Amino acid sequence: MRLDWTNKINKTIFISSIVFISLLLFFYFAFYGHLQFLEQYQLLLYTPQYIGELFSRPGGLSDLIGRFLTQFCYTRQTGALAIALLFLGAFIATLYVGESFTGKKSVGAILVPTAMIFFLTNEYAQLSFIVAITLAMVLYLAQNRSRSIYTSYCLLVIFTILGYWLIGPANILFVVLAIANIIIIRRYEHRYIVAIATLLLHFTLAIISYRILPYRLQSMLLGVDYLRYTIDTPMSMWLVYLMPFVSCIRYKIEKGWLWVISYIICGTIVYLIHKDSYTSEQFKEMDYWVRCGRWDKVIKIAEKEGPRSQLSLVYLNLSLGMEGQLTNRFTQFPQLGTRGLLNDWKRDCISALPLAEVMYRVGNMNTALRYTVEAMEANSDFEKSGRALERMAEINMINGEYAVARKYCMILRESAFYKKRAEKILDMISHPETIDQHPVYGYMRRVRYSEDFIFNKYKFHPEEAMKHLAMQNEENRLARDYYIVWQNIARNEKRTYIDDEQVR
Amino acid sequence: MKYLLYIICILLLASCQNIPSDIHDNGRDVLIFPDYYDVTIPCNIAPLDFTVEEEEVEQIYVQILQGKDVILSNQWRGWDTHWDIEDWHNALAANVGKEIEISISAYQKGKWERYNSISMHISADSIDQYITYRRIAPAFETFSAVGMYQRDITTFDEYTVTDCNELQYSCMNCHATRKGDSEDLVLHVRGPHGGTIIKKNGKQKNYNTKTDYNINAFAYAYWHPEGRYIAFSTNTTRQLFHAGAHERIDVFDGASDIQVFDTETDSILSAPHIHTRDFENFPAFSACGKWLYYVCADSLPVPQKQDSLRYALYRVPFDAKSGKVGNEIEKIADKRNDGLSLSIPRPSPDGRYIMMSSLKYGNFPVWHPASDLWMYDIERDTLYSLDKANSPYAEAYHNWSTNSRWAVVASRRTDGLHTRLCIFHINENGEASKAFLLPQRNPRDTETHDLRSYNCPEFEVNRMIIPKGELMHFYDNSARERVY
Repeated sequence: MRLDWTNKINKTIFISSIVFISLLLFFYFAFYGHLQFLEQYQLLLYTPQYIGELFSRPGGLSDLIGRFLTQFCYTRQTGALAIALLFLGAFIATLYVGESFTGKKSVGAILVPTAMIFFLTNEYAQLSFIVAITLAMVLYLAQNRSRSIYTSYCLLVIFTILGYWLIGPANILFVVLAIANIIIIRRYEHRYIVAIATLLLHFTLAIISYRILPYRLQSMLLGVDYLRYTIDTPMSMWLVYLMPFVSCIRYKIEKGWLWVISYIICGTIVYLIHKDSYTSEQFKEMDYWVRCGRWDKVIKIAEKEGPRSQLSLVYLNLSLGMEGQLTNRFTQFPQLGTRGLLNDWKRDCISALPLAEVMYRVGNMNTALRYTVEAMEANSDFEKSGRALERMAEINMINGEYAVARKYCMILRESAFYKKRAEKILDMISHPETIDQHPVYGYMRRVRYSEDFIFNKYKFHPEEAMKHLAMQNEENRLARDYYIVWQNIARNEKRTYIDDEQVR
Repeated sequence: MKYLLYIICILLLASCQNIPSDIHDNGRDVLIFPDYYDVTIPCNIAPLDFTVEEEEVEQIYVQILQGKDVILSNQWRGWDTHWDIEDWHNALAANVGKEIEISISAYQKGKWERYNSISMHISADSIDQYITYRRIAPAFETFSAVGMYQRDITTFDEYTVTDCNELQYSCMNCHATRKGDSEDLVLHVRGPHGGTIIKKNGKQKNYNTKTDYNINAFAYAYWHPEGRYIAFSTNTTRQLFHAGAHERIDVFDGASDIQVFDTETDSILSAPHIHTRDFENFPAFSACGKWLYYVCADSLPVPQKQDSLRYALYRVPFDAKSGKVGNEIEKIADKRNDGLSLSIPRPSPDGRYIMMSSLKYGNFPVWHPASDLWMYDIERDTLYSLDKANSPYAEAYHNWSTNSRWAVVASRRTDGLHTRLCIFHINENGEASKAFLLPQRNPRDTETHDLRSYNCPEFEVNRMIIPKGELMHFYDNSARERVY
């Protein structure tokens, strides 16, 4: 059967399919590390308490949908699919928003997913903002279906109030689109008064929320959960707000080839954005493979691109160690002194990850626990991390702190993707003899510190720690390799371990 | 057919409310969470809801008996009790000073089983209505969702005083009120927007308490009972990390002193003898206001010798009229020869006792699993352990109720890591009863999901409210009063 290209629906389906496939491929091949990075700093629990808390503040619904979609980023395939579908939704909504103003589906719509990708490359960006923007457009389309002035104004008020609470301050997009449509297209009576009143209503809702809820005014105006760190608002966020309006402009030329050119331009923009942020993206890709225990993939990325950052180098060296290649191959890659073996922790949630992983693998359990906790607690939106909780449960189980391990597992059990792992750990806790027999946990129990001693961060010498672990158990080949390489590298380096003093 | 369904539904609903018959006594103690066996409870406490943790429980039927009289009973699907707050209070009020028995029957494997009863004593001593505490994850260096909350302990209501959503990325340290009155409050906020909030008679002033004369900003605070003076410690706090399996962190002071702050002149009183090279810490005024208690350890090089650092309890006279700290230092209690360090002295409001933490070394009991509560009887000059209130895990941050008959302590007893608030009674002879967990509506569920620790609890007689405008002004405005 031949497609009728003059049919608007077929055209929309075709364009949407191209956009969806492009997004799917991009997220699967180029952005999987970032998506996993998003996922690991949240833990969606299917409990009334957790969901109730989300709805106790503006933006609860968009947060919930954002977190629901983010959880799928646990695996590369499901993550790419979920996020591509969300972006597709945003794209289609923009097409119809543009059509409501111009009568045609505008090429400007393709800029929306592009801006959203730009927004997502920000390390603090959350999917809930993308969801909120999409929902704001959906609300506008629903409101725009009303044909009488009375219904239109009623829906405007209802959706302004309801939208603010459910999708948060991004509902301003709905408000502006709706009043723009009423003023420019419909030209209803009292339109200017209604427009001003609606805008005032939106900001009044923000101020009322600020007065009654324990949040800052900034959060009530810019969103509680659109960013993990709410002090700075990135430019890309404003671009996402702006792009739907670009699709509302009536262009002089509306030809098919314009879509092709727009697609190529946007593709190039995405390529450039990704290239520009590749230093941090490479680390995230490596982090994904470290998490999967695919050390060969980490080495492969480094062989192809070279380690782009100190954190990537730490993961590369760990992977070489895990593959038994560290002592032989570390000179094949540019090193950054001993900081390439163990990076400095910058009191953030990102630099704690490689430290936690290296310490865990060499058997320094309490320090691994410390950095895992730091990776979770330094998360600036105060959310828990599924990945960190899982590791904390593992370490506590290895250390014989079963009550704490059980507690973490009971929480993980209420998530979708960590449930299985949590149940396995719970099962082992119920039968502690199986822990010793487990290939990883049993090994960790054998190679960890067998005696307690106290150290502080000012006199923690990793070289000595590796030596101690290597000598304590000959089986601990990784600690031995780290010790050897450390000695090699440290000859030409004087490294101090004095961090900023901490006063609590 | 439709009517038949209605009838079945009505019968099913009715069957839920039926008092179970044919209950079999199994002669076993029932496993419940929290442990409420043989506790003494205040006559105005919130319902002591519990979770029956026996296997395959489908329903529970609980009776509260005084002698042979059933004073309260109910049946629930599942394993959690949910007493009606008003019914519970009425039942307690009618039986003040009496022993009660809690009889628990559970529907398991198709039959009702009755377990051995649990005894409790309803004390005639009431408890202050509120407890204010800080909630923070038991982390290492960074912290996420930290906040100060107030709980109405006669119900299950919790109020946010302030939290991380308002004071973003700031740490809230220990707070202190005067004699349980939230109108007189000290609260430290750390970080770039930090400072010390002192609220007196409801009027708030914001201070920068770091001066050229102290080693750091003010830390542990204690109000003089008359309200003009506040004793503070100043500390340079550091962390140590354990390499082994069962302990995580130790906290010590590189240096510490005590200073008395005059809230009327915004000045620090001169008292060089409690501001020495030795490690003075945790000041507390006596109930009469004539003594300033504190702990002190000899100055040792730390962290090298931190496991030899042991504190004893001292006091100096204090004259509130002249604002003078007396020179005569008196040692009150010392367990250093027994290898114990004393910390966090808390005098009882009736002036009779001082409750303290004891630990192997140092002054930070919450990270010492073996830390316990001890009591010093001022009249009898005796020091003894509060065994019934203690657990095998750390007990710390204790505080008295305003009538000196109840105490609250942050204890790690539930899982060894997360501190939970426990309450216990202290009779006129200074004997503690068994400590019990602060009642929660769904105790096991709350315990499972709460990854934060509760610490620095204080009893209050009124709501603690810091107006949002003043709080935001404190956070957004860097202007602070100077301390002289």
